[in-house]
Amino acid sequence: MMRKITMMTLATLAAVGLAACGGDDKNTTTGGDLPEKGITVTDPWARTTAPTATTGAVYMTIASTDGDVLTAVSVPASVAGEAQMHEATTGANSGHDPGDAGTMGHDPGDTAPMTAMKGMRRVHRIEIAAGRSVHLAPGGYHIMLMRLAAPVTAGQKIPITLTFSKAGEVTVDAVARDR
Amino acid sequence: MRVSRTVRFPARGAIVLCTALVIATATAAGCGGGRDGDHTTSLRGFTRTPAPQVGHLSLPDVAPPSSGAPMRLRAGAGRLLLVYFGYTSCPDVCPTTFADVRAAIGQLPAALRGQVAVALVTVDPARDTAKAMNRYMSHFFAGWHALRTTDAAALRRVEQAFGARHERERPRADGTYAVSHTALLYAVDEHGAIRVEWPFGTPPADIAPDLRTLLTGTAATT
Repeated sequence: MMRKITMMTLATLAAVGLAACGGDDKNTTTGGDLPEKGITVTDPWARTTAPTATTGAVYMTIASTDGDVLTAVSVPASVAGEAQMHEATTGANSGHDPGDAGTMGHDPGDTAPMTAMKGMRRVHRIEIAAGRSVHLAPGGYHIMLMRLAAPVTAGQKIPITLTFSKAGEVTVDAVARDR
Repeated sequence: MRVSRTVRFPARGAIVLCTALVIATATAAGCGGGRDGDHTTSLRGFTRTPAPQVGHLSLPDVAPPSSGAPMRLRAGAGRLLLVYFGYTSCPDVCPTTFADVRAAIGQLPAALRGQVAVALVTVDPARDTAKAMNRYMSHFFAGWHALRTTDAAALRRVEQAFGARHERERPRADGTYAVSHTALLYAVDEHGAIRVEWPFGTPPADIAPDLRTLLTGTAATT
């Protein structure tokens, strides 16, 4: 069956793909390079939003030479009321705190990776291992902009302040684009 | 791939990104190939046999000019209807999917682009008014269907026919909430059969060929 072939191929290639993707992102466009803080932010971008959208998302790749933890994010009030770190979730307990695991009585269908619901959950820290990168990308981690003050339009620059445990505050401009 | 569900180390985003790249690589390498001269098409997305039937169901379409008239979950003759269960307050998964759909349609030959219709079925009718849905979809498409019902049982029946579900999450401190939802994109044909479905993250370059296969092959469908 098509599906089995595809899944087997994915499984076979996944190891290669994962190994290849574990290192630094070579895709450097706009971003912040702060060697004295050990933090490099590449391709910070925001997705353009519909005119009536109340939420938005910002993505980027963060590399740390010595290892660090992103603990807070913020944007000016002119952009949104609040910014939070979120991760996409898959499965029966999408969006619930880990402490709720097992109380939902989920049915076996929820373990199917394709039909399992996608949700999101706020996180309070994103760890970057020493010498590694973390990708905030669609379907993974993202910075959620809540209570948007205005729609995000193509080309707009959104200043995002990232607070790290070691590096302290780092501000970068996320450039808005459709995808 | 179940990796994204169980792995908890920080490079989760990398996993999703890499998975998408792997999918693209695998399909580009021809692993999605089917058999020539066969009615079984070489679809890159997932198919279910027999194809689920959803055409007997309908939901109010609040997109202009329908203004709430019931719409059957099936495409017009010779066309495809792309159906997605989502909501407009979704910051990441839904906008990503619609941006990918737009890109996929853009990759079709001009003659085929008009043959693809897109429908958002809202899983958050409380916040997704007709106006909100239409302004949202107009950001991505020139034409669309906005399927909305506040009848939870009716929505559930449609979801079950597709094999989808949703769950409203606990409100946040500011009163807003997320809605978890099955993030598959479904392609329904004129007979009301789901012909193919693509998981979240399927690149436009893999959606477009499937659209083309289905649109140009519909005359040969058994």
